Amino acid sequence: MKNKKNNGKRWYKSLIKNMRVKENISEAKEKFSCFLELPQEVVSKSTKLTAIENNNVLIEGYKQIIDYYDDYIKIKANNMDILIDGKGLDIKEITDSDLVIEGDIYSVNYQK
Amino acid sequence: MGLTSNIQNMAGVVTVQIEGFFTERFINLCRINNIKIWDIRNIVKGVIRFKINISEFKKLRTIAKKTKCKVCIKEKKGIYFTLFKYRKRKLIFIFLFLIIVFSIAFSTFIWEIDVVGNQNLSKEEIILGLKSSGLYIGKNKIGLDKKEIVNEFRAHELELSWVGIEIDGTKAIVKVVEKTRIEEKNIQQTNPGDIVATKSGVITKIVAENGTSKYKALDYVNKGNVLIEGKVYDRNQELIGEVPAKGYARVDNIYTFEREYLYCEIKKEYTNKKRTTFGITINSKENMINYLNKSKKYDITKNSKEFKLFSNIISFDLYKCSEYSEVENIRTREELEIKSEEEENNYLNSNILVDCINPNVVDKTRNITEIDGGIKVKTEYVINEQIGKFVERGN
Repeated sequence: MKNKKNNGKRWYKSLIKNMRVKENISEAKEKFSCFLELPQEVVSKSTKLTAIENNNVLIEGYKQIIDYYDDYIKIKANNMDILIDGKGLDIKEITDSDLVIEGDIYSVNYQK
Repeated sequence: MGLTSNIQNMAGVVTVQIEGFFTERFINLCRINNIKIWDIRNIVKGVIRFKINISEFKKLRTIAKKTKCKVCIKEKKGIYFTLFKYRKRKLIFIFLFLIIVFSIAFSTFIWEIDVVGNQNLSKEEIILGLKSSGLYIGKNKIGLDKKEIVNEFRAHELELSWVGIEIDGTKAIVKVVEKTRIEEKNIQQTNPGDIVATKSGVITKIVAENGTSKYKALDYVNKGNVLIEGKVYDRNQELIGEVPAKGYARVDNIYTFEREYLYCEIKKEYTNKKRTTFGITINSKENMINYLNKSKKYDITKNSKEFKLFSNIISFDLYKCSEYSEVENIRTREELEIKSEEEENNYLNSNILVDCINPNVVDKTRNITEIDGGIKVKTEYVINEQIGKFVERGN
């Protein structure tokens, strides 16, 4: 019984240790990018949105399309979900990491 | 989209419609399996339409099975489908094959010869000389010895110091460098001859550097008369010998500018209506699509693109016509005098002084007389200029 309890504590400790290491790595990355004046999206896994007026949005570094309707698109990005509301929304181009949405865009919302 | 993908799309593109509950999953799976789809459009919920290259269409089958979607083709476009449509019409294929064969065969011949760098020798003369040397329109490029042609051409044409032939597609560019000629005034005359008057006038100065002058200052000389004779005499007026005459004479000449100016002038007033028409010119014969209003007047400017086809000059023309109406404009005498003065000066600079050697304007008299409905301006210029040209004796 004691061994089992000890094993559980060890597992918990190692998990916290791993999380701390990950946090440290991400902090180091941020500092590194800040020092070399590199764009943040290059070093860390983040999503970049480029909008041209209200009829074209380029999303770089997305994961997958969750919902796709004529007037609403939900896209899963690295740290959040992107919700695009509009009318006549088309996916003009789709590649491994980039997505171009065209149509009358009313709003772009983020959901954590 | 790059150039390679555009060429791939020319081969064949299909518009596919997907029906099912998991259309989003279908799109995500396409992305994961590296299937390129574009122009995705949601028609209604559960029905999407997109474009895909024909080479990747078969890959959709496994994804459709996984997502339980129904696939149907809505549109087919591209060379593959057109060729498939006309597969039984063998004449088209034969025709296409013949076009390719002929275009390849004809591209091995020279269809145009361009001459660059000639000034004294005309293009036609050079082309004629090249023809006798072995370069002509219709000559095959294969086995063409440029060096031999150049050597043979140079042996015949002594006016050229260098010739080079460059072949650019079906066009032969012949670059030539001509021998430089000494200017007439710099040629040292050795044969006996005289200085002859090139213009008539009253002599103001005569300088005989070599030979005997036949006129004095204030004499009148006619055009073509001998000014300085290429003969040397002794005190008894007996001929010692003949020499090439050298020297010059300056004469005074009168030039007149005469023009009438009317008080009432018809002026063009442009309306903002512009029209564009097209036309084709074959060997300087213009054919214009004319749909202009005949009762109205137009100023026409022409832009043309010219090319040569089998010694015929063909040009496609673009005519820009701007409509105008004629309006009467009444001017005062002062305005007319100012205008006439401007035109006088232009006439002096562009017509009179250009033809004179070392000219000086000595005197200017201006007479303005009234005529019916306008004025008449008469201006006389007295110009002192150099005359005299060496002419070899016997010519």
